[in-house]
Amino acid sequence: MASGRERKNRFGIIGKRRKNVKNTFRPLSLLSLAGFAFLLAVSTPAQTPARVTSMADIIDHRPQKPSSDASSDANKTLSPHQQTVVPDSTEKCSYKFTSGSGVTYMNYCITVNGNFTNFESPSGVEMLDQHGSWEGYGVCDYETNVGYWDYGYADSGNWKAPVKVTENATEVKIERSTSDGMYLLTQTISKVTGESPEARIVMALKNTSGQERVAFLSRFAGFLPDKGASESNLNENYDGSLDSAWGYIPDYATFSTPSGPYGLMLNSIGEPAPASTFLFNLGFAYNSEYGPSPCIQTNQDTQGNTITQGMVINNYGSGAYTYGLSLNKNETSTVTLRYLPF
Amino acid sequence: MNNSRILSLLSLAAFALLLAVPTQAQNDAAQKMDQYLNGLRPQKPSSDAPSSANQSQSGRPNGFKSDATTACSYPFTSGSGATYMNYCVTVNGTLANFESPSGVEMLDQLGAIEGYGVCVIQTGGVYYDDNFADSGNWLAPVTLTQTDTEVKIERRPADGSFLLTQTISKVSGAAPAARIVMTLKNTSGVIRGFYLIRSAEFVPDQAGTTGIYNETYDASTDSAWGYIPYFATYSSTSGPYGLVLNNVDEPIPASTSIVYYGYDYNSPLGPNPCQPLEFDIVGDKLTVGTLVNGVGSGAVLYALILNNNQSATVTLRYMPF
Repeated sequence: MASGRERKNRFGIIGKRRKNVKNTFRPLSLLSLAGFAFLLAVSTPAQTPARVTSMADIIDHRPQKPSSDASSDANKTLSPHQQTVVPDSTEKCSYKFTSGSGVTYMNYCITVNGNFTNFESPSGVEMLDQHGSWEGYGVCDYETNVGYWDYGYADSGNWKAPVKVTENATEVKIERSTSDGMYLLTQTISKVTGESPEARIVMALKNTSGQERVAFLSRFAGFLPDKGASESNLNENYDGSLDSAWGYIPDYATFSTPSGPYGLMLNSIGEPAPASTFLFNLGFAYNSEYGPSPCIQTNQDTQGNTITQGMVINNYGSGAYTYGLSLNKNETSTVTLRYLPF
Repeated sequence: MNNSRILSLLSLAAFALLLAVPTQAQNDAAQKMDQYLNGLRPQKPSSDAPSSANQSQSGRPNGFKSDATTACSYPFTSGSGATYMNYCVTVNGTLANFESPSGVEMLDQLGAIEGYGVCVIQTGGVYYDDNFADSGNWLAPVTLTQTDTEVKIERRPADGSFLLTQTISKVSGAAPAARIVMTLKNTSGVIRGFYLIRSAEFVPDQAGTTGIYNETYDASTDSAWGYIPYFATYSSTSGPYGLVLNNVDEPIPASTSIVYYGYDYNSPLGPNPCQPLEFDIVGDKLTVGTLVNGVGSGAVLYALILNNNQSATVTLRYMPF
């Protein structure tokens, strides 16, 4: 089944992947967060690593607020400024990086906000930008249940303007604070050149709230097949493991596709540093092209659609990678990921 | 049909045509393979016996060995915790295990089935070693160099038709990998076409303990992999980890490369090098493509054409994901 038809039906788009998405900050319920904890604890039939179970235990043992209060509680965390913030998400290329040629070619570009506007590797194989790239990051504050995200197509409306710290031929470093001053996110995105090119992303999340916090830090990618836009068929396969999430066209696919058998992987490198900040991590795929809602990642996308996590075959989907972090006042946790073609 | 599949099939067909004697060569290859297999393959109870008839309760085959070995000869270790990597290379240049991160072993579950295969197209000559078994037509391997970071092993077949030199190096650091450089030299005296294959039975990390070897497999142009999904649709005793065999760059020199691609299939054994998409080394029929919750393997195949005394070099790597 051609995803183009599905997209046309769903979004009223013909031959163009994206439409502008209303940028709505959705208050997130603690009940949903509890659901996320429940998922982390029991939903995967595969053996759940101890650290994930530990995170679930942490969440399960925390006092739960009544779900009926969730919306109002979340709104109380928003300053008047936040509630009137004009979204500034963009898919516009600002910092371009290129290396190699042929099969070792890599080309990607970063927005002013620290999102990827494309990822092409090898030459001629674009795996994010098919009439627009949906890629970015999210933060959830567990205490307040407030989510902060920017996925290119839209953002949560509660970020300050980004600040470019440094830029050179191999990397760009971008800082961004949340409007309420709770967090400072610093991203350093570097190109790794050579025979196995990749884009490396270092994300440092600093707790500037003035008190100890638990946060979920995420990276999201709308992986797409290389002929998705030109052939109006954006379907491919998706899946995730403890260390990665990815999308690809199989070499011997059981379905018809105009795209080549290539894939792009979002892969976590090492563990968050310092180790004391690390609670859990996981990669997962799901059946929506929208980014996950940062506080209920495995349940809902930013449009409020319920998502089903797990392997997606010949359909549209996305991949995400999430870290659970415990941060003391003014403490920073640093995670590293990479995009690599495979 | 997938474009690359068309390309692959066409390329392979063109490759065979290029070598001038496709039909006879294929027939010869089939006959020679039958001879090999009849000599090597354990007798099945009947022609209707399922392919699992010769497999243990764990789903792994029992059977023959010649010079093939799973014994560790050259161990390599780096990192710790999430960046830990430990693998070992046998005297024959196959991998005896691959553990990364710490505690997650993805090849050796009561023995690793990993290795290489070569087909000489014109003669139908079949040469392989996947630890579980070899084709019985190799000379003893020669270790050329060994350091803390790499080992270089040379091996040639008894008929002298080629020389395979492998350099296996550890890439340590935040994103560890085992890098394999395979150089195939045509020493037959005439121009030859070759298939050069690297293959692995990826296995889940608790398989040896629980006897459950099932996981998910797939492949792309550049890679083949096996893994347990984080949100699996099936029950597994193993953790959500994966291992990928990834082609790096292109064969060198480019003029030697006809086509290359990754594929996966539903057998724990290495593929028959001359019928790599059709049969494994014991003659069981293969089905290629996405395999969910099954026992399978992955391979990367290179079709090469080499003048006399010419070499082609391919590079791959094993990475956890």
